Amino acid sequence: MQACSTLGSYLGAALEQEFGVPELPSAPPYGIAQTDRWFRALGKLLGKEDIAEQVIAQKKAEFLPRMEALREKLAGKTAYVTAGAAHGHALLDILGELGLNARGASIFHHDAKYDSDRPENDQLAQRVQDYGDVPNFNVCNKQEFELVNALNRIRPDVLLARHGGMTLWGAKFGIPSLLIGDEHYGMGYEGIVNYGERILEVLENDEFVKNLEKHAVNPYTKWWLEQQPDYFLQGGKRA
Amino acid sequence: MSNFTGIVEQERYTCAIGALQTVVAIPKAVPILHSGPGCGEMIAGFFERSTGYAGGSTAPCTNFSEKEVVFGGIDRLREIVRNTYRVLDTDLQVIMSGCTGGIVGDDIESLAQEFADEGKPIVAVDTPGFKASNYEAHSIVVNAIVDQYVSLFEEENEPRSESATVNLFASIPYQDPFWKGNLREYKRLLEGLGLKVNILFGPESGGVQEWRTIPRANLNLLVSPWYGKPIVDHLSARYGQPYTWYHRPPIGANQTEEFLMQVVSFALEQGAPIDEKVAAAFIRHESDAYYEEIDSLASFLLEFRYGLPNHVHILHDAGYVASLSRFLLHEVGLVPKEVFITDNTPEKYQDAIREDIASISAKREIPVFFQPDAGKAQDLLRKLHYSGRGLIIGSGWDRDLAQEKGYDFLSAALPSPYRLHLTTNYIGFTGGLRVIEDIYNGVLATYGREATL
Repeated sequence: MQACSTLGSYLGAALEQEFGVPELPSAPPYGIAQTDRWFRALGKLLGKEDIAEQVIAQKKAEFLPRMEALREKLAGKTAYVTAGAAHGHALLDILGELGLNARGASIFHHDAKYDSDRPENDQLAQRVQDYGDVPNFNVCNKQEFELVNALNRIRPDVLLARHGGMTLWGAKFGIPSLLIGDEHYGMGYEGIVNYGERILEVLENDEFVKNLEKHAVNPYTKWWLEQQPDYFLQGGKRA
Repeated sequence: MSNFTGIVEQERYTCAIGALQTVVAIPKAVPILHSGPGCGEMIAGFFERSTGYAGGSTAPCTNFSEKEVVFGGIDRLREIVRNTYRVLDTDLQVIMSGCTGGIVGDDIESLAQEFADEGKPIVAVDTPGFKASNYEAHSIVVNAIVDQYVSLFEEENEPRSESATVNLFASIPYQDPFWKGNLREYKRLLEGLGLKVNILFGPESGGVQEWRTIPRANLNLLVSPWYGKPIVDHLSARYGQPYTWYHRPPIGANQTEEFLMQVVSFALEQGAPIDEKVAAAFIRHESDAYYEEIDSLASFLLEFRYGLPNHVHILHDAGYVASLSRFLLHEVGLVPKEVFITDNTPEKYQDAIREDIASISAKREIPVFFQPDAGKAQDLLRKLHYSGRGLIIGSGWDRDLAQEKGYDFLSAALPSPYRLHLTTNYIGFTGGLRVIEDIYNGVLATYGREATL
């Protein structure tokens, strides 16, 4: 099994194709629906479907009530995600599960075709299917100028990031920003609760970013901030 | 007067005679102790590394004991003072009585007058330990010097004759471990506004010559939650100097800007010939330099948040507790939890300090305890648990507690057995940045050495 469709998919596919080691036919377990599918796929692969069902039932009994409490507190909040492909999609799953409204994302990679070409491994497709479409979705090469442009327009309630340096612009715009490097932090049912608690905490402790917003230095020109984020891409909008 | 009686564990201030450090901080001044032999030793031990020009073991003392208790010690004091002039080269002598001298009732004022009549620059002040804490005695000593020494030169120093000059009363020398750096930075900032500053203590002071010109100042500045208030009240009565009061040492940009703007508008009201535009440009320049650093720091503070402390407990005097809490929440993103004011704040000032701390945030309450018994404060902290990594800012005596709780620690209050204080300032824009450096250098020093929380 691979937990990152950016880094693990080629190896997983090659091991299966060349050496007959089966690859778990499932995107990684982020969000309830996908975690259910992941445990079931694993149960099926190992011939232990009954244990998989037991684990699912037991974990859900433990974490669903806490998730519900978090959903109540986070209802109506908007979010933006910037991260690498696999984990960015995972974060979008988590947001969907917690009832946050994902208003956009800058994701550094998406290539379902060459990752494995398996629909059940296409994490972004799963996300859209489970929680709905994500507007303002950019596949970008970690271009800060595009992120800044998008954040300035969208002004979400919270920014989730996975790579160093990306929270700076959330903070400069006064947007509470959370970077968690550990990709396992959001896995499974408990991962949703983990993230929910951290998102609540950054929303609550927003004094630093609100103060920084008033004084932040901005090297980007007014002209650029008025253009569409994809201005420099072929076929991009020239507003 | 102090409002706390009974046994106190881990007192973070000392008794009235501790204000001998106020004298030590005046260039070329000497305290002459009319006290038991242990008093000076105790004060030197409490403050540490604080001898200055003629404090510590240099300071003359009558070694008041049984003989003086029974027969009075004034003759002994006269002898000591007379010999002080032969042995020590000093510009100002301040006789300070300890508990025994105070109880016996030796008339030290009359004795000082004998020498003053000879033209000596000498002052006497009662500082028995039962009378006040050193926070309070600081004002008593300053007012005594004004009344008994500065007053002798009033003819050539007409009250309020210099419209751009201010007297500043802020950090208490030595009790505020950052006093020297703070006073230097206050002076630099106020001069940046176009003012001339009598800073009175430390190497930036002009010594007794500067003290003599106190009456000339157009206005006084008090930066303190409570201590020092009797000084500006006294000067207001004596010389008609009005004062403006900023209630805590300004740490970081928000408070420093607020403080400086308060000073500018008050100085203009009082007719000080300063240029508002020049002052505003100076503040802006300082602030920009500050935010250049904060800007670069923001990623670090946010992105390492999972490994950095997210909450802080502070044990300090009222000024630092109020200022650090405000600064750390809004400008660093560290959330203050229970904080402890250990300076034995007189009750009449407590409500205003509580309100000041309550005004830090509209959405969260910072529990504040007026607790001169720091042992009790530590007991409470021992029982508290919050999720995430914590930080304690306090005296060196809080280090073990921080270790016990697995918290990060910053030594920023007296006593300070584990940190030296030379000319570092914590006030101002640069002081705020230094607080940040000190906190996170301590945190980063743990990386790679042991498992963090």
